[in-house]
Amino acid sequence: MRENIWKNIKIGFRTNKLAVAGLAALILLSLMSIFAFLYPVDPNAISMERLVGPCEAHLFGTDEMGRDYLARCIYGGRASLLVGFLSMILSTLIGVIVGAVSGFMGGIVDAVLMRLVDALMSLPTFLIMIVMNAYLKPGLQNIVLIIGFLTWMNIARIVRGETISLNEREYVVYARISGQKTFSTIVRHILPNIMPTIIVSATMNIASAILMESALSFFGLGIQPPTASWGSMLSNAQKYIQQAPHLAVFPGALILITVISFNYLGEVLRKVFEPK
Amino acid sequence: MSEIQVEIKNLKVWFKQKSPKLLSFHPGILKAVDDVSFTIKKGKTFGLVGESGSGKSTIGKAILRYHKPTGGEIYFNGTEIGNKPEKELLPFRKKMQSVFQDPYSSLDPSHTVQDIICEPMEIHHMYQRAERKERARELIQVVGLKEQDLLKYPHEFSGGQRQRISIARALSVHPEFIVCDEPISALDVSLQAQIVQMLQDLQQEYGLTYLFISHQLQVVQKICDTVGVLYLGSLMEIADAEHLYGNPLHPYTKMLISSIPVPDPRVKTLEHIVTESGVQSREISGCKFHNRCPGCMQQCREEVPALREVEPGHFVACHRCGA
Amino acid sequence: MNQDTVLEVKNLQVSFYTDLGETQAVKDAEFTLEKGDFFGIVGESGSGKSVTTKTILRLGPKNCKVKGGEILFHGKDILKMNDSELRSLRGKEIAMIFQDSLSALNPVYRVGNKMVELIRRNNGVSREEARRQALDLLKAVGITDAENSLRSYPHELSGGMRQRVMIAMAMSSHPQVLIADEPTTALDVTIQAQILHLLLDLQKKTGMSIILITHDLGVVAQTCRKVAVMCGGYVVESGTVEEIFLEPVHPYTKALIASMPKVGGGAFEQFLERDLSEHSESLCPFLNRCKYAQDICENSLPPCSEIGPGHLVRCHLCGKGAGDGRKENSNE
Repeated sequence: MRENIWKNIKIGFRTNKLAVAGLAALILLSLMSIFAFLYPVDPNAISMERLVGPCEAHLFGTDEMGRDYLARCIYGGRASLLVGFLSMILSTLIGVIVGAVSGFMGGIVDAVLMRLVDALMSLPTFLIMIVMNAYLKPGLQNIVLIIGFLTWMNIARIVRGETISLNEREYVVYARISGQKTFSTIVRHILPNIMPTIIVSATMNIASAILMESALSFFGLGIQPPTASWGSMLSNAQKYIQQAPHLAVFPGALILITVISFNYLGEVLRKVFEPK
Repeated sequence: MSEIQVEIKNLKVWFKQKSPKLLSFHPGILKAVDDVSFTIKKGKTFGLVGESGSGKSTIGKAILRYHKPTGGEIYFNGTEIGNKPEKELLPFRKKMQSVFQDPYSSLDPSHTVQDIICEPMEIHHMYQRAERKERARELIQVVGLKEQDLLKYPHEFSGGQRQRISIARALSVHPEFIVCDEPISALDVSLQAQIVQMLQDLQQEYGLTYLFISHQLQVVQKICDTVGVLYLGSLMEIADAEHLYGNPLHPYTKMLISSIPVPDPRVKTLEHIVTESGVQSREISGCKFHNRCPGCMQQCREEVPALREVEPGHFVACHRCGA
Repeated sequence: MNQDTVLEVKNLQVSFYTDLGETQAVKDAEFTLEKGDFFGIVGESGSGKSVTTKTILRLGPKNCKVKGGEILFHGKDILKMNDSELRSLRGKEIAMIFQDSLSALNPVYRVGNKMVELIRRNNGVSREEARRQALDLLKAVGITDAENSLRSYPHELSGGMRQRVMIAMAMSSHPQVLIADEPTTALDVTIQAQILHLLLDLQKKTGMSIILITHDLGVVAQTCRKVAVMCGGYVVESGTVEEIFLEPVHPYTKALIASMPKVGGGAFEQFLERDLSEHSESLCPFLNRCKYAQDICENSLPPCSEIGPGHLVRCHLCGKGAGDGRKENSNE
């Protein structure tokens, strides 16, 4: 199966041109945020040229404090992508562990864990975030924690379902009757076979985490100024939407591109890993 | 009298079932295996035949302790294992292995053949790493595949080849007893013969004992020394393979044999088939087969017939037989 | 053309196209179905038997394409029909039943709803009349408790009952041809015997033609009058059931019959298997397993030849004693 995956991914991209564009955009954005320091402008440096539209000196224009908007977009991307990536890792980790244990053990363990998932899912996530934010200091670390802890339930459910269907597979039955320990069976036989599903839902999760961060920042609960993030830039822009629409357009477009790209990427991966 | 490998006494495996009625909190109970006893002699093959729902696979899995018996005992080499806790089972698990029906789901698609064959040895901490690989190399040749196949993944093999890999995996830990759960049912006829031949050769070579589960009497008759016929979780008849086909006593066995389509256009078997009104049902009193039985008597409706020895080695559970 | 010919499949070629390229599922299928025939198509998995028959009703999946050949229904090519002609063909002139009766029936409708709807669409009768006809049909296929069955959902019926319902639905439009794709494979052997008995019975009563696809030679021997043996996308031998079972000519047919486990019979025979170094896409499909293969087999695809009236064989060695020295021999 493994060597075929690369072949299938190639075919998947060949048949879906939008995904290729998405992948390219994501690579570009990641490179930009990793090598942000190569752009020699301080994103927090204030100047007198306020609310200047895109021009030669400032490709993306400047904001209300005269900061170079391109630099802020680059550094903002750094924050947003980092939040997306880290909270994806956190939520996937929790989701996979809870889901696999729940699906494999069944019985009471399953019942308790799944009721917990149900309970968490029925809470309005966004409200919880706002409340939690009131107690925790806003900042990258806490935002990752909050988003991560509030978005693992979907993954847990998917992983549980997959695990249950794998339980019926004869190789898992065989592992049990040849005396393999539960933990080893999960690691050796369950996880590798649900990896495709995990990868796919993880990509989708990055997208939603970026959106969530943007939304939080939009309400002023996300990453705090002067550090830039796309969400906080967008929220800032609403005050000047009349005079300087470019303030909203650039971060908005970047969020849009990132999220759409991740979704297309997830689409391709889903097709590649779909059981045949 | 040869030694006894596996003995089952009054085995019961019941499952809780979701109640068919909405808003009912009483779970139903499915008696998948209900009071089954038989013995398997060392080095012999015991066949279990039955249609879907007869509980034949459940018996196999209960012996392998995938299911915990609801009642009854299972003796392996004289030791009771049916009620042992999981921790004490490991040494027995090494002696019992299995080959399953579905060649597509019995091998983990994410592992190489080498990993698959080595895994049981790892579980039982047998050999060093290098020796395990050496043994995998030996085994893959024993089952008629090539050494370079070890590094391939299961999807690169055909159904028959996958069953060979399953057999190699089962052999890796030097088992005494193998449960073959419909090992050839999913294969094309042209491959069935090969796998059966291999199982028989291996039995000769390693002195293995088999429990061979199948829904095809034709197949079981070829391979087995003794055959048990199951119907809805109960044994209807046990006899030597040849005896059973030559002289079936239970009406259900007779029905099964007469239903097999004979691959010879000169013998018309279908002409005697009568459409029966009864369907198989667990909910009936007396003999479970009485509603489909052409010779049903009043006694059959009321009383469950016991399995009795009517001829030496030939057991039947029918009021009409040998009484 | 013979007056009694209902369906003629000529030189049919079907391919599947996937991202990985083209797979030829059917390379050359050819057979003729006459009125009142009980025609069997036997083959192992991957022999193309199912694809062939699905193509007759043009039911193949989207990525499957007919590359050549004709399927003539009363002289009219099904492959050239437009949608409305196809619609009137499917389910009316040619009906089909499948192996998996549970997924073939819509789980959210009661059996009765589905049947009444079908009968009304096909026969244009009133609801009451359709219901009456449905009851008759169910009784005709041996369902004693027809009233109750009409009110059941598909999952409430047993496998054998569902297959009976499927047959009843197929019979509702009095089709000229019934295609049964492995109708008894999922059933227990006692139920299988009853369903086959029913098919034989219906065929006798209505005089329709039946195409039965199966991998079980026993089923064929007990029901069919004519048989086509498929292997690797080709029909390798076809003839009457007596010819195929009692005087098989093609080495594949012989091996298949010898490998069947029989009650009370001897040990079943094994197939030979050898590796072919070069790819043999355009050679005899049985070459790598054939005991009698000769040089000529490794050079060209054997043509189809008629060795008796209606007895067709695709083998280089046929008629010259393919290994059994039946006639003058050509192999050492």
